[in-house]
Amino acid sequence: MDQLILNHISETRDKGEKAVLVTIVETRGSTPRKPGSKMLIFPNGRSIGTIGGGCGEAEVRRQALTALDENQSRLYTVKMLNEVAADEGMVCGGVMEVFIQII
Amino acid sequence: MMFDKLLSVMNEGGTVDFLTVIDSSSAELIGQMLIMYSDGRVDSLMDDDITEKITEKITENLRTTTWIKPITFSVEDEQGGTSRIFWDRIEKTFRAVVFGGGHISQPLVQLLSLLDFDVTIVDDRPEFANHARFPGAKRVICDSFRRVLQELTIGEDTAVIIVTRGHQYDLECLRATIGSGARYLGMIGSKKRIREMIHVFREAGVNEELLKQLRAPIGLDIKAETPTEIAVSIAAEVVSVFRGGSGRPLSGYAEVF
Repeated sequence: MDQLILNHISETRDKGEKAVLVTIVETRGSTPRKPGSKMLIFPNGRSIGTIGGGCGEAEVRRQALTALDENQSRLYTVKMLNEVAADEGMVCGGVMEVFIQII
Repeated sequence: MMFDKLLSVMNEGGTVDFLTVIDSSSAELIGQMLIMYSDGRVDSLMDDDITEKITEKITENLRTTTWIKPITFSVEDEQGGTSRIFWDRIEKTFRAVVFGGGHISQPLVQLLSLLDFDVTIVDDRPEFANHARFPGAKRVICDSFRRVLQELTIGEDTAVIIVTRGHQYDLECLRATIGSGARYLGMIGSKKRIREMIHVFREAGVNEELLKQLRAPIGLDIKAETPTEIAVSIAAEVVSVFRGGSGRPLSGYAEVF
């Protein structure tokens, strides 16, 4: 895990604020980043780290902010196989499962 | 707080396994974490039953296989509920020691720090060994190579890169680090010069296996010419050794074409 992300988690909690930690937990096929990659997202949308960028990451970011509103950690699956993905240039052709963790 | 505990292990440069419940038939478990320290100690806020199940699973796994990458697995509790667990690990930070603060070292230290290496740079000349010259280095040591070599700890998390200004210094650094167990040991020099050095080491009775591990001439073959290109070639070789890569281009593999 990234030390920078851990430092920010610790700071966020010290201040009594919230954030969402997104971790890739499983991948199938070809994905830009592998299990264990992490990204921390703050309520204002600012983030640290990356789980691969592009449309996949943008989709996860929306899901993460929703999860934060509902205060509920959850699993989410990102597919980069469909036509939309191909149109948008998400050409890796894989599926990744991310865990969205409220901290 | 589990994340604070992970942070303190990380700051000490240690290794720790941490497990997160990512899905469960008991909703209150989702997001719960368990930490298993390298001495076997376990930190968990979950009940004893599930803590034990998870601990058993990883202990058994570690006994039969080596940890390669994060994985997920499932456990069943006494009530027949199931939970899916994500197993992740914080590993020791990779370290690099660069001997010689010359024109190759400058871009090299920058690259290595971008690659998240904790970099120590050593040179005996103050105008070469200073923080202004190496902003990316964790430590800049200005002292004789001989003295520094006596004090440095080098282990299997360390890359040793020998690029000093003179062959006598290169030789001194190599002599002191060849049996150190460094994960990567590379030394700069022409093929001819390296051949002579290997000969000297062989004569001195240095183990042939140790000599084979030496990366010299240093770097991958990218026909590097400028100091920065040479630094890229060295950094790429270091990454390939730490990650277990072949150093070959990814294109042209039979499985692709």
